[in-house]
Amino acid sequence: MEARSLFVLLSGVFFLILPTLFPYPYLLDTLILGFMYAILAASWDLLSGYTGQLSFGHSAFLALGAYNAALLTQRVALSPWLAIPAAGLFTGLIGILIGIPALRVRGHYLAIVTLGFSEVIRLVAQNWLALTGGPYGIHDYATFPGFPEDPFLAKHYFYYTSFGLLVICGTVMYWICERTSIGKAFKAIREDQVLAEALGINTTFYKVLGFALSCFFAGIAGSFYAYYVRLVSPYLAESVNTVWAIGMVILGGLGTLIGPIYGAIILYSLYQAMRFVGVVYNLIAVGAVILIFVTYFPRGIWGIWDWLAKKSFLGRHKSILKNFSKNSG
Amino acid sequence: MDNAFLSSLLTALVLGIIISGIYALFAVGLSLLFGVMDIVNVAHGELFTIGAYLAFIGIVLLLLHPLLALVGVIVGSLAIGFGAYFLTIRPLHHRLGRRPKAPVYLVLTLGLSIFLQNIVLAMAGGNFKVIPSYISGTTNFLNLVFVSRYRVFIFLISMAVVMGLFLFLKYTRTGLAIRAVKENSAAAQAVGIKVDQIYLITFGLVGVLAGLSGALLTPIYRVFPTVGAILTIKAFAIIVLGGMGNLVGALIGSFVIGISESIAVMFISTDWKDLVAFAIMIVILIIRPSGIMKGE
Amino acid sequence: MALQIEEVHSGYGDIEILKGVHLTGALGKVTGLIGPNGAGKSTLLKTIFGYLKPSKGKILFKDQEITNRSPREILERGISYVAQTEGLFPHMTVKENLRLGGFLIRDKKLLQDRIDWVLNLSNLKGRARQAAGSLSGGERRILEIGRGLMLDPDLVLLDEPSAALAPLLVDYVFNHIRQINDQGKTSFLIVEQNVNLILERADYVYAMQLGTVAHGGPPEDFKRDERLRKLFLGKG
Repeated sequence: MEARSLFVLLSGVFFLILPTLFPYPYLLDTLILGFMYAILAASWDLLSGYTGQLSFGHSAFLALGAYNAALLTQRVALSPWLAIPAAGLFTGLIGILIGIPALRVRGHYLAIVTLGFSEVIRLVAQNWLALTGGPYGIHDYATFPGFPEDPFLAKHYFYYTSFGLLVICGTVMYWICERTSIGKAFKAIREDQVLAEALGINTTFYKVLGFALSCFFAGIAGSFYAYYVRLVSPYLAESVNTVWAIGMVILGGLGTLIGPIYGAIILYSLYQAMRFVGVVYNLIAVGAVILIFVTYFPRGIWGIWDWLAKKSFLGRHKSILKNFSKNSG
Repeated sequence: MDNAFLSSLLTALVLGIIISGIYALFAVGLSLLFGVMDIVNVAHGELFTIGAYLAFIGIVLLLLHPLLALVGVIVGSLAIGFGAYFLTIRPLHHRLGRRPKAPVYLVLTLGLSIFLQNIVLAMAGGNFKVIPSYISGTTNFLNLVFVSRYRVFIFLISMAVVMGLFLFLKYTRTGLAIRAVKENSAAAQAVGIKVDQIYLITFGLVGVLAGLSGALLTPIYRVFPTVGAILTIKAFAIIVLGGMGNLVGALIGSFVIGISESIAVMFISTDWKDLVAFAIMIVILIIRPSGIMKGE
Repeated sequence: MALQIEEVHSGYGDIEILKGVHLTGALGKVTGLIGPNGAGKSTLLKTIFGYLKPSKGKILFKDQEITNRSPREILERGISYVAQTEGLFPHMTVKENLRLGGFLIRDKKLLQDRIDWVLNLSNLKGRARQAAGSLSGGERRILEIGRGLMLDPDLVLLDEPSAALAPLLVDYVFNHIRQINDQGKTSFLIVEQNVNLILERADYVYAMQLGTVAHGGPPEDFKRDERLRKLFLGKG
């Protein structure tokens, strides 16, 4: 465990000083969105990895957060700094509205329904011209006030905003999932819902809470997207964004929360790097990553590190003591 | 009721019935795969798309006789089905054992879906392609409804294939084995059925069903990389409606949704047509999640 | 020497249940397998049938090695298996269930003859078209055994045939088993929780404990020997 905490700390420092070391606009662009996807991926892991409720429609929440923020700034002139948490709250509330009927369905059905839901959101965004601007979306709204005019300098500001959001959201999500009783409840529900119920855990409450939290953070990711890309369109709700999130989580490690964050940064960076090869091919890589990792490396990168650590000399002796720690897989 | 309204209602009905045939071909395969292997195949739409492209290649590029092209579609879909099984499903099955957790396969087929969709995109480009109908001319019913002969043709073919599937499952030895694995895979193994082999056959069969439906539909539609994707969600709605794993239910559900969609378009804009299936699915999940059929 | 099990270790994943089982069973008998929960009785049957692969040891049947073979190959060699629960195809008819029992038979005439034979033997002739799930508990058990007989096996492995059956039905099932055995071809290896039942009905008994065979002998051994009685008849 210690080695990994050190790694997280070091990588945090690395990303902090990165803009000074490698001030390349393309790299910064990549990481800015990479951090955003990291928040999205972590939020998906919270819902599907920790609580076991499979959401195939997370792109809907990304879109909802983005549209919400854009509209708030466009119509009500709300400052982005306030609109981001507001969009998060809005999306979180939608999450509750989805979470309640979702109680009645499980597994396959839930996945299908959420997939359908994201399609509905996409269609609504596409057709409700008055509110959403139709297929072309919304683009005339302000971004963060006080950001410099110079695009290169502004990128630095965006970078640190994005990174800051990731650190805050990531820490909160990690703390909830790994250090509080809420997280324990989530895991219990994922493992055996009937047993959890029998042990006195209010599964209804925690399942809906899972949705609320997950959607809250997905909404925050979406709202940041709105202010960075300066355009929200129905494309955000397309299922491909859900696939991104899922792929990033699988790569990083389902149910580890930290894994998906790195998975997101790695996968998105890979995608951007492959752009030099040819635009269409990189989604093939995402699909391939999911296929390969689900089939052969289900624990993801983070999980493999864990496994490797246990297999090493030190690990084996530690594991004798931790004999009853459960390996999820 | 004036003649014009009646005429359009009947036309909508007939068109609905015809598209239901395609839906049935598509959805029955999805239901079968779920029944036998407990897998919800998110990539089913991509199998449809690939079938469509294979038909395009056969008819437009290679100028084959349509029937020959269809044979090509069957062979190609079979290959894709087998390939997907060997590369992904089989290793997972062996690693996870007989009672896999739902999420794994869903995520797997999701990955497969994106993978295939983008391979098609990469190889074919995003443009819409057009395949000419291989049967021309129109026919009519009762002088009120005019439909193209081709449409009637695809309906008859899809129904024939679906019926053929039902007969195959009921009366052949392999069909019996598939039904046995579907009902109780442990007992099936106990009587000597090679369950892995059945899984392979089922996968191939399902691939062919999806590919055929793609090849048949495209002349009256268009061919593009995401043509199958929206169908996948409708197919999910159909099998939820009919009861997941219930083949007759899938057949009936196809007609319910196909006809409802067609009639709904008379009253709402076509933009929202795709929501009809979704709305029906939500209603069913709320009032009777096991589907409209009894038992199972 | 028909069934020979030598030093077999087997289990589920990391958990080892059978820790060196040694057993030889001659053909022609009704053999019981008793022992407390967790002793490994069901595990042994599953290992013989190929559901589980042993990590160590050998299994021979009719002088041929069958260790590590698949269920299908074991069926082909004359051993069939009747599970404790969920052994039927409930939505299929009685006839289809038997048809499946004889899945490996290619000859249509032979298959039909067998089906008729089993239907007669099981007294289910009139129920051929009935859904298997709608039969009563006793009839279902008889059907399961019937399905196991379809390939005319030399040995039938039965896992707790008396489970969830009323005593009268248990008698019926065991009379049925005896009747089949009396015809001279088929032997049975029966796992049972109900020790008294086995001591009444079996020709030979093996008792398992903690993953090994503690004793093998005729039922009288268990009735007479103080130590064995305490171990296995204890509280009933």
